[in-house]
Amino acid sequence: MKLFNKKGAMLVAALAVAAVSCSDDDDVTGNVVTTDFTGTFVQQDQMGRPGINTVFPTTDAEENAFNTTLPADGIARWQPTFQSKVEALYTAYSNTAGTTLTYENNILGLDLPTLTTALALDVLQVAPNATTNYFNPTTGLPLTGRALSDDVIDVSLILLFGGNTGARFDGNNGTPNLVSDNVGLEPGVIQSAFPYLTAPRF
Amino acid sequence: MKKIALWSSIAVCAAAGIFIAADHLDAPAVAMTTSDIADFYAFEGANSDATTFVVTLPAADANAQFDENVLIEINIDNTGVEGSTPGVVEDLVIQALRQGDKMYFFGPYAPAQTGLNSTIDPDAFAASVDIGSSTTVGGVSYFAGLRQDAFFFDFEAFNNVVGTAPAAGFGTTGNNTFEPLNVNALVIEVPNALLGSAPPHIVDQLLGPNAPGLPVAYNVWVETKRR
Repeated sequence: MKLFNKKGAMLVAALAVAAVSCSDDDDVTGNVVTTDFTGTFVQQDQMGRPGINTVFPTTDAEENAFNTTLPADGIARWQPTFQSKVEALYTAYSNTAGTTLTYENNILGLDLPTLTTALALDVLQVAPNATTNYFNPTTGLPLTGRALSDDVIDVSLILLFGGNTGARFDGNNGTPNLVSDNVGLEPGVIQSAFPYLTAPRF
Repeated sequence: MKKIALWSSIAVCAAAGIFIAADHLDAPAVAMTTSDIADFYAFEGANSDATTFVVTLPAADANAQFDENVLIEINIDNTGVEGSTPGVVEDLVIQALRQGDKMYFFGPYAPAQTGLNSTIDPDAFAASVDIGSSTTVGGVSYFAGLRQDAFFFDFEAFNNVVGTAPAAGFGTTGNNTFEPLNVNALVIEVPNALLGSAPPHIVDQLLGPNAPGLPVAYNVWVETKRR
């Protein structure tokens, strides 16, 4: 299964200017697809878990820098920033509520430094031998994958604002609702068979 | 000329706040470009012995295309935290690049270099698929093309919460900002045998003695890289 087997010489000739024709792509009409796989590709954007760069970096410069921070460097570079951001949100709601509100260890038992350490290493976990969800309320297991139907925003809010019950600020008893944006998967956008997303609607 | 018009229209929509998925429009340097990632998913699909990766990019209209000079690279760490650095490094990559009316896939394979710059090893070629179609080669299923955006989020309410801290928070009703949107999607279902053994869960590795005992899991992320 080598792309260039049929024209092996092309591999050798894959110079910077090369735009190689691949005989694999000769179709019945005789069209030849021109392909070029040469060159150095330089990082523009990256993503592991949902919403991280949307929520935590604050300034334009931080958001740009986050997209080119290697996962090997994520914790050292971003954990303090993330923790400050969460603390600032609690401060804002303290001002709204007229009383001091601070982060409480969440349903996973994680304190704020530990939670923001895990978030700053922005890679998604996916388990080959377990259910694969951002959080599975049945098993209680977090971070074993991200399914198309997972309500990742609510999970993220619960981890940040839910406290040890997951419902600390749920809109009841005079609290603000900070644990759900009240939206779910739209009907008809996913399907059970590959490729799992349904045809577009324009 | 066509491309300029296409992306100008995206710019207009983006300025109106329409295109902001779980990652999309996160950073000014990539917002409104063909390298802007919208979303990334990894889960067990119909085949319980395989992992499905989904990468989406914004698609303004039915003419939206993957950029022929933007490599989409799925990174897989199967060794966990290494050495004294509490981070991870990719051990395998799956690369995808559109050329003409096909998407070409390479890997999973160990890249010659890790980090911010990548090249494509043509010997790692695995399959190609017509844009808009699916194929299965060597037990791996591939799709590339336009699909509906599955992401859901009341982004306006979120901005309100983090911006002004209203007393009600998100309140009791929401509006999905992403309901009418479409994306250009890459979907790859890979037998786990091609991904190696999964390492201890990263949360367990970070917490050490207080580890909650989570299932072993690959660490994965997606990058766009432009030449």
